[in-house]
Amino acid sequence: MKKLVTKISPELAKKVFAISGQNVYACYQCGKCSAGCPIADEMDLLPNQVIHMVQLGDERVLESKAIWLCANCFTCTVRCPRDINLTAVMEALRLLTLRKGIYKLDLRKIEHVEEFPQIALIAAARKLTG
Amino acid sequence: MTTSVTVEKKPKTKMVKIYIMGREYLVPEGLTILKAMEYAGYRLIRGVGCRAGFCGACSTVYRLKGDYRLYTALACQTTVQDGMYLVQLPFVPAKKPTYDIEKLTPDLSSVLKYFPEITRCVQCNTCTKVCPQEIQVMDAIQAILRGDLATAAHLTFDCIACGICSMRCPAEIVHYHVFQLVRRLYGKYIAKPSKHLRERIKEIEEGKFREELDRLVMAGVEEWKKLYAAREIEP
Amino acid sequence: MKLLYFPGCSLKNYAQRYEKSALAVAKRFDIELVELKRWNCCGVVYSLASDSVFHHIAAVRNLIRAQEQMHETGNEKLVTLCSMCYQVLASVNHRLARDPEALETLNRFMDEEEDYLGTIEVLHFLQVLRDYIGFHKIKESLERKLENIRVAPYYGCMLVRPKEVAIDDPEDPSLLETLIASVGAKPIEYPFRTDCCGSYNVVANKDIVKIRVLRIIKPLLRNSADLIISVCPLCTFNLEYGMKLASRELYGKSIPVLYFTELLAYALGLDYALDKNVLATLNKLYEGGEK
Repeated sequence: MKKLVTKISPELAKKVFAISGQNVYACYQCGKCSAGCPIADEMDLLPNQVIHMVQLGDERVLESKAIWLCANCFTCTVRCPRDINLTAVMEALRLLTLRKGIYKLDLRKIEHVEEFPQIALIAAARKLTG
Repeated sequence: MTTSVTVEKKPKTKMVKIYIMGREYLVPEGLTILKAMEYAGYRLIRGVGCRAGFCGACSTVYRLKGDYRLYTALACQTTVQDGMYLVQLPFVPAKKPTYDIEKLTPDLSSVLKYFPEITRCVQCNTCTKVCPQEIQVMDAIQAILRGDLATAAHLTFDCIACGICSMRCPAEIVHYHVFQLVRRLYGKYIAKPSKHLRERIKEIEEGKFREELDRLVMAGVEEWKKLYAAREIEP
Repeated sequence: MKLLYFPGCSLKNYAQRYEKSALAVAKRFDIELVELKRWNCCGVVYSLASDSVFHHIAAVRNLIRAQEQMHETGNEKLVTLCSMCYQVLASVNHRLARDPEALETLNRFMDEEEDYLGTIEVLHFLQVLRDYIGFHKIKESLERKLENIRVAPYYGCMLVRPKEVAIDDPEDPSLLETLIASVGAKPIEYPFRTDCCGSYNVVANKDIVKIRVLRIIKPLLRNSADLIISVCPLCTFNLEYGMKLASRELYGKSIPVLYFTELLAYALGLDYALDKNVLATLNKLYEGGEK
């Protein structure tokens, strides 16, 4: 992730807009989202970095771990001063992979799957599989 | 390039044009898909079974004239229609899981252990729409997700495991295997044990019917024929 | 007053005690929660793809059921207990109200159901307590005043976010504190009451839940909280699971997690609606005397 992207392109932002309806160019990188994100410490990219990569058109963001750890808690969205629904942007980035049929969770490989309340499994299946 | 089957000496029989695996055939109206395929000369060794709508072997996919939709049905229970374009399926190759029913508990966790993908159900209801037995498949899956195995067992009593629902499911659920596990759990752990069954088993073990059975075995073909002809037939 | 009630999967399995206590509390104030017939999973979590409505089908089917059964209660309200169910149903409702094209697509796809007209109002039980019963009424009906019990309110995410469907202020809610005060107990202030518990990450990334729960629980241990009240079955599961995973870091300490309806039921003297071990925990705290 240290290599700078040499070609800036609007393609990724366009795809994200098509799925989420969110205009990532409204973000001016204030960082409130990352400050409030409960999972930020475990992410490889902070939420504001994720959206910056979308602004630059860097498709490596689709391979980041951050978008898959997002818990859909909406903390970023309620704090964004530009009213960007960052949760929807994260979902759009996930869907770009999921809609190709590449799933990030194999339900059959979860240990002790029967111990979890069904709400946890259903939510995980919704967000991490197509 | 079409092939026609010649009509027999019954000119009054109305014929309909159907397409089997892409080839055109004229078959008498009123035949089931299965009989129509045999009329056309096919000898079926897969995708055929009891011919009575009970075994689920004869799943067929077809479309109708002037309609873009794909329909599914059991070949032995559905009559041909003019313009029907059909394909017969040998079977649905879903994997059967192995489990020891003695070691399972009659609740949702046992089902999730073997079929966690039922949590992916989006309730699109496609399964219910294609079921040839008119089972409320989606409701059964949802009942299982709620932990209500008894309702699911009752709803799926008529399931013949034809596999059509599983082929169309966007969540890749194999419904009939799930239902089989649920019915087994229900029958073994939840359903009330049948008093009459237990009593009858006891009687058999005590030898109540031994003499009668021995007599029957020794009776011989002529006696059996007489007994068979005179048997009680329930209305 | 009768209200249609949508249980949600968890309430019938993992969180049965939540339902039992909630139904008892409602009954105490003459509200009958009429369970929706033939309901399905709500379809958690709310799908944020604005170009697709496929994942809303589950929620809309339940809203249609509510529409079909409105005549049983005479009103258009649908109450949920699970916060995740609340957020999904309310968000779908909200989206379809603003996007008639999406509503039409869904209605056309679900051709075997009646059309959804968009008129159902989704409520969480806390709203019923606040707006239809009123906290003052709870105060007047107490059988036990839970003085000296220090209760930490844990909101989680789904009730207070996103803004469009939140039942209270996302950054500074006060519903649960008011509820705690109405039963005479002491609400604890701490910084992480609206922080996410980790949600579905518990399935594939347990460590995240462990870290989240540690962060939430540590200040509560410092403030000697006796109880945490939660509004969501998944939060309850994650808090308990997280405390178990982090027991070493917590030096073996843990705080009991209860549903807010269990606290209410106890304060109202509805002991029959409480599980034995919950009752034992509450009795110990109540009879524990002055701190």
